[in-house]
Amino acid sequence: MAVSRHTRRMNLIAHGVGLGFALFSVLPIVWLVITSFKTEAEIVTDTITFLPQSLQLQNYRDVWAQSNYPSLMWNSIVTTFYTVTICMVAGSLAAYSFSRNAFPLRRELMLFYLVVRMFPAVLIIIPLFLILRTVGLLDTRFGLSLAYASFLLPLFVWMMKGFFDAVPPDLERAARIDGCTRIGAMVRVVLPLVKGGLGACAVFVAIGAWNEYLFALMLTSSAGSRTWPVGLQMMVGEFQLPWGLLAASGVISILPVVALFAIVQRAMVRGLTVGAIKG
Amino acid sequence: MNALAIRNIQKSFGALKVLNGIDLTLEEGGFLVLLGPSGCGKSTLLSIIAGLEDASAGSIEIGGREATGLHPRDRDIAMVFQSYALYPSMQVERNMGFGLEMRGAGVDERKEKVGAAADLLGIGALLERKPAQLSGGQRQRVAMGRAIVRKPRLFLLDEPLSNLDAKLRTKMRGEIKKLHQSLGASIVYVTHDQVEAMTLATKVAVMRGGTIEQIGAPMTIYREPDNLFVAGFIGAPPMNFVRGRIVEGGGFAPDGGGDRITMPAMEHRLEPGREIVLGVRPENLRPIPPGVSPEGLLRFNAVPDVIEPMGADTMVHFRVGQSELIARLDGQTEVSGSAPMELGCEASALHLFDATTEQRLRPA
Ligand SMILES: Nc1ncnc2c1ncn2[C@@H]1O[C@H](COP(=O)(O)OP(=O)(O)OP(=O)(O)O)[C@@H](O)[C@H]1O
Ligand SMILES: [Mg+2]
Repeated sequence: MAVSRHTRRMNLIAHGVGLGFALFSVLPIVWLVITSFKTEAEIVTDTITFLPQSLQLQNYRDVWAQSNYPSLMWNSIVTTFYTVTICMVAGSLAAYSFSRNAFPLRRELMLFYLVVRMFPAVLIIIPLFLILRTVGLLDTRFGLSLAYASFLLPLFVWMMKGFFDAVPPDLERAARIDGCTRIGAMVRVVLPLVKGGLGACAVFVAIGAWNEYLFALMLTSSAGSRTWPVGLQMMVGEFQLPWGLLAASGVISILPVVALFAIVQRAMVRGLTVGAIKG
Repeated sequence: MNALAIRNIQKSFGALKVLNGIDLTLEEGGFLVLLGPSGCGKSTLLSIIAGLEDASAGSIEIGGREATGLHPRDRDIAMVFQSYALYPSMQVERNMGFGLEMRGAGVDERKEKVGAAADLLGIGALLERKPAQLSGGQRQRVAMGRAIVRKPRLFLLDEPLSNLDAKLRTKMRGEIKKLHQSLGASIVYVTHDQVEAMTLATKVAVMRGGTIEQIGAPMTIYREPDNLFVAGFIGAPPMNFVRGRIVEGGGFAPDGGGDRITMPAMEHRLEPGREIVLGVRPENLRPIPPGVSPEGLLRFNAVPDVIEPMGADTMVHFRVGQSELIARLDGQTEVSGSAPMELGCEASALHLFDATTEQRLRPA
């Protein structure tokens, strides 16, 4: 069938717009990657050069050996791990309960979870600061994870509730007759069915915690708990801007995110298209 | 000993009363069918027996043992769900053996018992498959298999055949009956299909709106329904009803005009003017040859509206007053459209109900 001229023009425009947006979001990252392979002299020039003359790994060596970047990275890993663990354990149980049990104020509580997310983060930081200081968790990785959980957990619960809702309740009823407790039925029968969704939610939470800057800035102060986004910002000195180092750290920092996405991408798509869960 | 004894079970969801005091017993080895229209509380009652749901009031005994408040695991029951509820992530073998696994049975014991149940149901070749790789009928068998593996004291089946096509349903119905006889198990079976109730049950409980309208042997319920609801629910095509009143001289005048109907002499003593509902099963009507006037028959003058030859039977639709009636005549009967005919029914096959209370009128 012949495609009309009009349709073809519309197709062209649509592709053009899509391509434009893709460039708009990808170019900065490409620029960051390119910069990380340039020497200082190449970065600060009168005329912009696009490609580096040769692939310089010096920035990466410096970041790894001569800055405190490895410890920033380690702090981020630990904090992210804590956050994900808190969400997976508390969040799965909460979401499951929201999905299955008709307790008083269930709807209101779910909505309240969303309300928490409507406040700008700045508003919550000061109370959180005071709370963490009172319980002695200020400037600790665990304290920071708790703060992250305060806004990532509601998101996690909302998403997981959707996945749990899609699992037929008869399965757990059958499992209970077969001898499981309620928790046993959830762990043995329901969780295997929502593992794609669980993975997707865990990745969302992990990325949220990994990239977070504002809370980390306010709630940590020492090198023992500082995470990479804050550490990176602190490399910017009063008299110097180590572009090469910043770019290299940036690239290293987004690598885990890219890797995570690559691993769970398939599970995520499968998980997010609920309805994949059928006998 | 009773396999199941239920006393005064009540259940409310918030303000909604779903069960209003259910009492019933099932003897060891019996087959109880809970029959009723959608939403009458059959599944809720089954869930309460299983312990998946707590009753608001009342008590349950299973196998002579108090079971009220017991965890489902400790009730010695197995359940087959309408949706089958096979665990999608497990192979058939593990699905069937899951109950044993949860009770700490070893691998060998599980293999042996699952194998035996699979052989009984003819699903031995499917053990390695996941539920998603099974047809509807195969899933149904696996669900049955999962129930019989553990040899429980009481089986609970919630509309196990309703997801199958008509042919398969008839086949599985037969198999369930065979299974019941060979296992000697006690079964509670929920359905809204009266054919399943009639063919399978040793005892039927007809439910409506959270109460049991009548409980008894299937044939008793068929022959002597306690009220209009039960009478209309059991039997296919359903019982014919004609509303009207008794007239002087023992006849019956249908509401909305039409010929007066000759009533046979009966043990009932019904005073003239009394409003009643006359019930006649389609299969109890037979043609009366012209010129014959036998005694002891209820007689209708019928002009056939629609004639449906079905082979073995011929369905004849006709009107009496405002009511549409069906007669199920022998397939050999010569029926010609629009020619009036006389249909008769034995006095013993006649059902009389009070028009206001809708209860069966019994001879005084
Ligand atoms: N968890 C619940 N919360 C509130 N109402 C409920 C709940 N479960 C059942 N009901 C109500 O209780 C009534 C009986 O439901 P039940 O499932 O027992 O009916 P049923 O006889 O099995 O019907 P069907 O033949 O359609 O399966 C219905 O009106 C239903 O809406
Ligand atoms: Mg039901």
